[in-house]
Amino acid sequence: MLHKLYDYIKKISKNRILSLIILLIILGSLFIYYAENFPQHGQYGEINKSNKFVAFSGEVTAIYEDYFVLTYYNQIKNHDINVKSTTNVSLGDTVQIQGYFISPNTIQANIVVVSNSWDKSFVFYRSVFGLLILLIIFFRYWRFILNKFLFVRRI
Amino acid sequence: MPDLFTHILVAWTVGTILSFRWKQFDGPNISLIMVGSVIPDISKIMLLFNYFHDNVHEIIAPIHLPIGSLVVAGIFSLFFQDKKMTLFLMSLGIATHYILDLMLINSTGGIYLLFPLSWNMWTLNLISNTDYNITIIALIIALMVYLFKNRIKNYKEI
Repeated sequence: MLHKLYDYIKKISKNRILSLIILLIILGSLFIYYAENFPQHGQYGEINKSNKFVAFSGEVTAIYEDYFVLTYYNQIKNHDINVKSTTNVSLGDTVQIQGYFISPNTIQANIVVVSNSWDKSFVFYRSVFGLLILLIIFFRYWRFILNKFLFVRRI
Repeated sequence: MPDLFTHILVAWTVGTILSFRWKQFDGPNISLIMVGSVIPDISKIMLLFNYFHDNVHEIIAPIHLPIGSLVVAGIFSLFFQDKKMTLFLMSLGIATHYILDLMLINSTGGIYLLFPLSWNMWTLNLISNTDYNITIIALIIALMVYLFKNRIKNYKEI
């Protein structure tokens, strides 16, 4: 099996392998640069500073009379933030908010954009349907030649 | 993101309209535009199937930025004979993706279109990302283009 794979790789031109390595390095560099700089520029960057304007999204995990709890992922763990807003939300909704901190763990929301869980599921099903159609159309026109490691036209 | 179905429909529509003028935009090449239109959402496709946790998504997020999408298209194009044409077609699909994504209402700021040169965010704040009306509009336009294409084909055969 490994021997076969080695034979296939040997047949791939050196230029292609070199191009692949260069592109992977560029992509890896973009990942690293983004991960290192995103906290300063991204949506979670200023989230712990009082009275600072913040904008982020998360999932509704609890609802109370005049506020709801929004859970969001940041780096490696979940964070819960209380959001003061009169907007109607339900458990499981995804909510984007813009607002500012009025206490260390509470945000007064100015803008609230709600996507309910049914909407999200519907997007998921439409996306899966789209992917299936794409796969059918793509493989109708292209086939993969293993010993050249290339997609070639069927017609 | 609007759903992938909408992205694919729009890419097909753009490719088919271009095929009226340039015959290089045939079936296989239009399918490459469609592939290009889903490249920015590769990281989200992985999320959909729960391959990765959200924090990994934060690391691979540059794929959903123009420069990252183009690099991924470059990688994909290495697996086709006509690499330059493949890269061009996939780039066209990527462009349709970002034009649609720019229309989304995004209270968190929008897309870093010029990353890594700039961290400015861009959005037109026109439609909700779960709004299916955009899918219906894309479907109607695609249907009209399909009917028009068939009419031209029949006309040429006569």
